[in-house]
Amino acid sequence: MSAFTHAAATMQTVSLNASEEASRRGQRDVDIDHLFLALVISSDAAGRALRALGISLDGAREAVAELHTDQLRSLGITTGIPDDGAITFHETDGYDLTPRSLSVMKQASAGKKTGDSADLLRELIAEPSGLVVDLLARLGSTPGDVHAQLDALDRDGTEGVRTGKRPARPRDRGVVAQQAETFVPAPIDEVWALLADPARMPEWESSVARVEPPTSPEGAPPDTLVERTAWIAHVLTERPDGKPMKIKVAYRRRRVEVRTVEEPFRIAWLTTFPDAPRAAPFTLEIELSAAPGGTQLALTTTRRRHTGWRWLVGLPLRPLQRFLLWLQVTHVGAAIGRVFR
Amino acid sequence: MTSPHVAEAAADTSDPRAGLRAIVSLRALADTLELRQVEAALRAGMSWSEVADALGVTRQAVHKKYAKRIDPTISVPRRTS
Repeated sequence: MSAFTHAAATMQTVSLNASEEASRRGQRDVDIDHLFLALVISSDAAGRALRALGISLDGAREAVAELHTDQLRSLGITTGIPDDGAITFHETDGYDLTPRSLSVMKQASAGKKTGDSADLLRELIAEPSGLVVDLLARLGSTPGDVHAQLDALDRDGTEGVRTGKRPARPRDRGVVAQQAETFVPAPIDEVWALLADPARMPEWESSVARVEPPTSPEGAPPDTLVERTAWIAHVLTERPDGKPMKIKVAYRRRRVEVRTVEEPFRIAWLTTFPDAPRAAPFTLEIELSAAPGGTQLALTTTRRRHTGWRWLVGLPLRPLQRFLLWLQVTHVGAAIGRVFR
Repeated sequence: MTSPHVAEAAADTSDPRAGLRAIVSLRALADTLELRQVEAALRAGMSWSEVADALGVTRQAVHKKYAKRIDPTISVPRRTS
C-alpha cells in the first residue's frame, strides 16, 4: 500500500469511526473530540500509542462527557449532552465534519507529513483550542507522553507504510485480494464468539438479514463449528427506513461455508451464490490476535476473477474492482468493531 | 439552577478563553436538543412549516439543516400548499 492510499484509508476509517461516535450522542457535527475517540480505537500507530498509555475507549468517552459537563456547568447549565449509548450512524444521515476537524485533517497531510494516524494525533494535540490536551490531562497523560510513544513506535517502524512493508499479494493470478486491519475494543474470546456463530453474522455483515442453519439428515446442526459446514444467508432487501433495495432475485440467497476454524485465531468463510452460478465466489478470512485493550483483526477478502471473455471485459475495471473489494473488507472490519462499542 | 443563575454564570467574563470553549459545548448541546425536538415534532405529525414557525426561522432554513439529519424512518408528508 502506498503512502497516499494508506493516508486515504486512515482518513476514511477515522472519519467513519468519528461519525459513529458522534451518532452515539445524537450529534451530526463531527468535532475534534470525536476524532480523538476514533484514534483511540485506531489499529495504527496513534491507537497503539494511546492504548499503551492506558487510554481505553470507555475511559476516553467518559473524559469527553466530563469535559462537556464541566464546561456547561461553568455556564451554569447542569444538563450534560445526552448519551444514548448506541451507534446509529449506519441508520442515519447528514453528518458533517466541523471546520476545525477538516482543518486538522488537512494539516495532517500537508507538506512532508504523510497523513497517517500518528500525524493526525500530533495535529489534534497541536490544535489551538487545547481541547485534546485537556482530554489527555483528564486521562492522566500529557502531549509529551503521547509524542514519546509515537516516536518509539516510529523507531520500531510499526506504522507499516514507513518501513515499506506491503501486504502479501496472492500468488494465484486468478484472484483479487484486499486486506484491512482493525482494532476491536473487546477480549479475543468475545470477538471469536461473535465471528464463530453463523447466527450472529447479521451483526457484522450488514447485507445479511438472517442465517439459516444447515439441514442435515441427522436433524439438529452441530453445536461446534466444523469446517466445510454451510449455512444459507438471506440478504437484506429493505433499507432501515423500510424502502425496498434493488437486489436481483438470484443474489438474495447466499451459501456461506466455514473453510478454516482455528479457535480463537483464524476463521474463514466462503460465500457462493447458489441461484447465480456464474457469480464470482468470495472468501473472507479473519485473523485475530490479542492486543493491549482489545483484539487486533487482520481481514482479507479474496474474489476469484472471471475467466474467458468476461476476464477481458473486466480488465479496465480492475482498479474499481479492487477499490470495491477494499471498501467491502473495511466495512466488515468497522462493523465488527461496532458490535463491541 | 434557575435562569437568573444561568445568566449570571454565562455572563461571567473573567476567563474569556474558558468561557469561549464552554460555548462550543453549549452549541453542541443546543444542536443535539434541537435535532431531538425536530424529530419529535415531525413524528407527532407537525409539518416543516410548523416546526420552522416554532423555532422562529424560515421553513427553508429548518428543512436545509434537518432534512438529511432526521431519523430516516420518520415519514414527513410533502407540502401540499
